[in-house]
Amino acid sequence: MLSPKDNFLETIRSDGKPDRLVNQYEPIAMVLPDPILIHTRGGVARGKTFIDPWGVTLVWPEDQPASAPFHTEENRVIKDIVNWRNELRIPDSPAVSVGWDETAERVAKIDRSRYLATVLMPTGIFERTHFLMGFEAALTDMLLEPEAYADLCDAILETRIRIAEILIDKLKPDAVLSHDDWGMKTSLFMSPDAWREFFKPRYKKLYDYIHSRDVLVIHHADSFLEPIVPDMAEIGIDVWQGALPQNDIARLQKELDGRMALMGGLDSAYLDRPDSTEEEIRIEARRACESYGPGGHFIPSTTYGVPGDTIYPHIDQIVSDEIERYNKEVFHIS
Amino acid sequence: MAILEEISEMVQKGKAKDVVALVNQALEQGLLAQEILDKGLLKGMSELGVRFKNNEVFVPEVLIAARALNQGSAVLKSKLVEEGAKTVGTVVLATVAGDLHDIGKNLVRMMMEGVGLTVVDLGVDVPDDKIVEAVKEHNPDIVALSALLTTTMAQQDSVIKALQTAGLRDKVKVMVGGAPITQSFCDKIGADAYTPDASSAAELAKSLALAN
Repeated sequence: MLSPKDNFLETIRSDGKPDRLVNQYEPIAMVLPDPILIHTRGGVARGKTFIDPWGVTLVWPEDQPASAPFHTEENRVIKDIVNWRNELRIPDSPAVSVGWDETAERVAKIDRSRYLATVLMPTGIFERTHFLMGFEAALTDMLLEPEAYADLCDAILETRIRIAEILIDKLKPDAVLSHDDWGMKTSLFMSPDAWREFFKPRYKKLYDYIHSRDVLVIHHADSFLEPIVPDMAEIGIDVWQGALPQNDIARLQKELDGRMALMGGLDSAYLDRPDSTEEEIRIEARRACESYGPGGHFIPSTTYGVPGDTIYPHIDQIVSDEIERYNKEVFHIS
Repeated sequence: MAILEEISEMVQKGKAKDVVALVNQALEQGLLAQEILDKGLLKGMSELGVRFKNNEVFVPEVLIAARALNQGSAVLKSKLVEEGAKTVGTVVLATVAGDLHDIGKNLVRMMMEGVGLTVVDLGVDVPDDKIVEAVKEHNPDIVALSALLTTTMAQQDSVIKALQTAGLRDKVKVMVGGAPITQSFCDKIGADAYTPDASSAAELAKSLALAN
């Protein structure tokens, strides 16, 4: 029986031979938090309002699972995209010097023969623009002020490359889990052409850099992304995490032919409810395994962007248990 | 009329300045404000809504079209009052308590305005009692509730119960939407309608309001 890590690597290799389905995030050992994450998100806490180092106001309601940016006309960091250089001070997160030794010690405890040490890079280029400007302004400025918007994307990219560099230098991970949601459940936020104009070349640059350091790229976007999936493979994403079942996953598997692995197939927004029954969860997990497993290069998983992040913990446990049952029945692996 | 077609086209392209100029021109030509609104501005937005539903255009195009529509409508406002024009109906719209997400709700607002509905947008994280108060104040045809999280979807049920307690439930139709919402959830909580996307929400709201 292959180790979780080797089975994952076989799953994502175009000519790989996994011996079972990878069970959600099982092979991924997240390095959380790291000093950069502490710098950018360290003050975020339940029931609190936090202004991050970029100046963005994040609010975490007491009874909710996560924080979200909260924009008013007054608190938006960038009010006029053309003038963004005067309105925004990009924090020097990569220069953070405290906490690396302690984090590296945690990384050293990961059994690298069985698991992939994985660092998190949340709030991607698009997400950062809408955190800074508000969602509607980000999308309209993309159309109305494309040069200024592209200029801002470049500045964010530059910071992200530096963050990737320092994370890899200091922690030597096997993989980067990079977040940027580009769509809703049934469509992209922006046109495929706009995505290709603003994000594709910049992400190619970032992911080329990460690959040049022999680190894998897992990109999280729990969105409908069908029109750009071949482009995502082109820019070097090894695993697209968050592949919602609203995408035609089976068709995409054929189209991709192993150039990019798909991770997801289970819509968290549908499953992660307090009243989800065990039967319902098992049926859905089984459906994902049976529908997409045979197509290869597929990892059944909820579509959340970090491991074990379901709001109601039993959901995650039952999904994992059902995948294990499937593996026993189909691959006779226990 | 060619000018109405042109207004519709400019709305779809999000050319706000051109829309305003053309609306003024149409008024100078003696067209009724209601006609300019229905056959020019709203027609443009409605056609864009269909293209949005078919994934031919995306949120940015809808946003700039809505901006053009609003600027065009502002020119017509006083004329519409003079003509005694009636709106299609009124919607009280809110993202429920505990939920800060506004993207879906805002899209619904734009699409609803695009079919001629008057929308009272209460914002995000709106407590039940504020929604009840808004229903008393604005006497809407529809209450439309958004929730993006599985932890806040139950709040839609709570709003319906609050409307019942206030004796207002029979006076309005309640529509629900958001990522975790399904038709079965809608049925379970006794809402009147669920739609999976903003343009369907607008079309359904219009038909519900007209039937009211």
